[in-house]
Amino acid sequence: MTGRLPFLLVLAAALVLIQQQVLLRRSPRLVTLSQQQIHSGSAALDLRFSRPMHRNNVSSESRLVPALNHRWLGTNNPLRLVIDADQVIAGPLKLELAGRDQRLNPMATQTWWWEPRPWLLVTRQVDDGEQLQLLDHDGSWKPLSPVWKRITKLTPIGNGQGVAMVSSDGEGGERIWLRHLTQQSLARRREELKPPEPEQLELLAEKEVLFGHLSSNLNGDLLLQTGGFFPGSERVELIKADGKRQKLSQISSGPMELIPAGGGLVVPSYDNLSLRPLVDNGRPPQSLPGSRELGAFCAASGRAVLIRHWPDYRRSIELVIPGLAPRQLWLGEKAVLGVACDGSGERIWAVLGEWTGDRGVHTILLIDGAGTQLKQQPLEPWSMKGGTPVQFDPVSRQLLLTVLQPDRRETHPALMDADTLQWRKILPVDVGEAQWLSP
Amino acid sequence: MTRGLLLILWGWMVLWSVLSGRLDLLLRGIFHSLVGASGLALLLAGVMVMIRNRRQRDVPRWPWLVSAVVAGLVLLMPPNPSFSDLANNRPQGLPEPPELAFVLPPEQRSLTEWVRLLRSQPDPDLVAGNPLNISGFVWSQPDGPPLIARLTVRCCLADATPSGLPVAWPADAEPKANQWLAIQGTMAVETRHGERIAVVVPTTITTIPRPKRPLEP
Repeated sequence: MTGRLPFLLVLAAALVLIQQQVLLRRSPRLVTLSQQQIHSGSAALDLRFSRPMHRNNVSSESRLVPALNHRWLGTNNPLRLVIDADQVIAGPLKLELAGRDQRLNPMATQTWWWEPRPWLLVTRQVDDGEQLQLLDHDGSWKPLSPVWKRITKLTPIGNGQGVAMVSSDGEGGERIWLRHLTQQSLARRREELKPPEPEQLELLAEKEVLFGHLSSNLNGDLLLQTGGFFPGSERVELIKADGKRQKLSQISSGPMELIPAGGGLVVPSYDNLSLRPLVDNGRPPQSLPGSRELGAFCAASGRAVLIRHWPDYRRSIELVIPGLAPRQLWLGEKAVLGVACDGSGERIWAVLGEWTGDRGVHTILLIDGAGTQLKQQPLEPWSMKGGTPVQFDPVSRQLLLTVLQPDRRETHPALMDADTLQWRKILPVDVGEAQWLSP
Repeated sequence: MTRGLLLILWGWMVLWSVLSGRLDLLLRGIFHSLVGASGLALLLAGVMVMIRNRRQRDVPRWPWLVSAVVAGLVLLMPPNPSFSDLANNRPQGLPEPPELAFVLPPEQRSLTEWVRLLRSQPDPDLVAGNPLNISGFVWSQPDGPPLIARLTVRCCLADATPSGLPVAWPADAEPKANQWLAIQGTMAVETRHGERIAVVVPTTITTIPRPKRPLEP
């Protein structure tokens, strides 16, 4: 007994010493690799390692193919790889990841394939109604939902992990659904890069509703704003990315929108637009008086484009920079049908409409953050479908619109070069609405 | 009798630290009531010991005298810690940022909230041009211009963690270590040592007294 205790103590000390020496000499490992939607470039990856890394070393030893301009951000762990803005990414990227930790232990070089391009989602007209479909990069369409009479609202989840939608039975009743998706945009081999895989289809509201409005942020939270058939049945519910539900007691005069970076929402009321936190922080909400509506968020920079309605029926487009008064970029009598902006709010696209004779003529305008008009292009012979969004994709630097021709019934997804405002492609499918899904 | 007096002296010293605000330099406010209660308990214990032993005269021992001198010195000499020296000797690992960081208007964010935001979203271009209104002490750096900084604590100065922001100091500015400053300005992006970082560009710099509660939770 007397000899056993010292033996056990020495054994334990030896084990600790061996463990310490093994860990000291062990190479660093990549623990997680994920796409990051909050960035100032055209695409970004977050990398978490098993130990703090030497960032400059990771930067110099890793390689991106094709060799796009990029930067490594972060102190040491995690690190963020951001592809510089204003570069068109035409296909999957190869990342040869290497580098050393803070003690200069080398990490084994590994190759990753990364598909940063978003996926095109449409509510496609089919024989018995409408169906949610996704366009693969090889040009084929993948169904993501059953066929419903109509799909009245489509909201891709900001982190790409699903698509929320509202289906209508055509008789005034609506149901809210969430199609969960598994992304396959990061893989060790190129052939493993695939479109998102459809998973469970979840009914988000048990009963039919009279209307349902949806909004999502880049964290993957989803806001449900529903109203039933009886007075007082309006409900606002937040479904967080982890599936937890939280009822909100916000009152609004219209659809509320989650802010992209998370933590808050924009609430419209009759005489102002206010920004409220999701968790009460005890401070008064930030309000902007006047008849304004939210046009578009400029990704995660905290900037947004607003559409202001003046008493004399004119409209203006305003850029809101946190902490500063709204900056008027355009003022006129034309209708503002849709707006989009890049991540920093330096480029703003607006589709304007006016009636000439018996039909509306739509024009797209490109303005900079100071309000200087850079380019203007009529959409003729096309016009933008009312109630559908204009969306900017920083990866391919193109705009997505849903367009139609005045004398035809079909509406089509249309891709436009965001710099030249020239059409790149009008897809020959009849859709209700088209939107981007984050990879 | 002497023991009772000593307990009263220490009890008063603890209680005085709470009442005078000296404890704000050492401990988060939520723990002050606990310390105050312990000071009160020492005072009461001292009074009780004095009442019980009022007829006894004990011979003072030298450890008691040393203890009394220490308590007296603590009462007489207000603490004046160098936050800059402390910050240089502490690891920099702030807890996870609160979710509300982006929702707060930039000019309402405290220095610590700015640092947390930039650590969770290390992309400086996302905040370029944002107005800011912060205060902190000057944290001298061994190999570069000083930062404007705050110390955050979970409990007390022993677990203090510094959070600092680089500043593009104007040519006529002469920031001295531990000097407390209020800075109004904007956030800008600069490349330092080959790295793009968020930098405070001051429009006004005002010297301020050390805040009553300089430690942030």
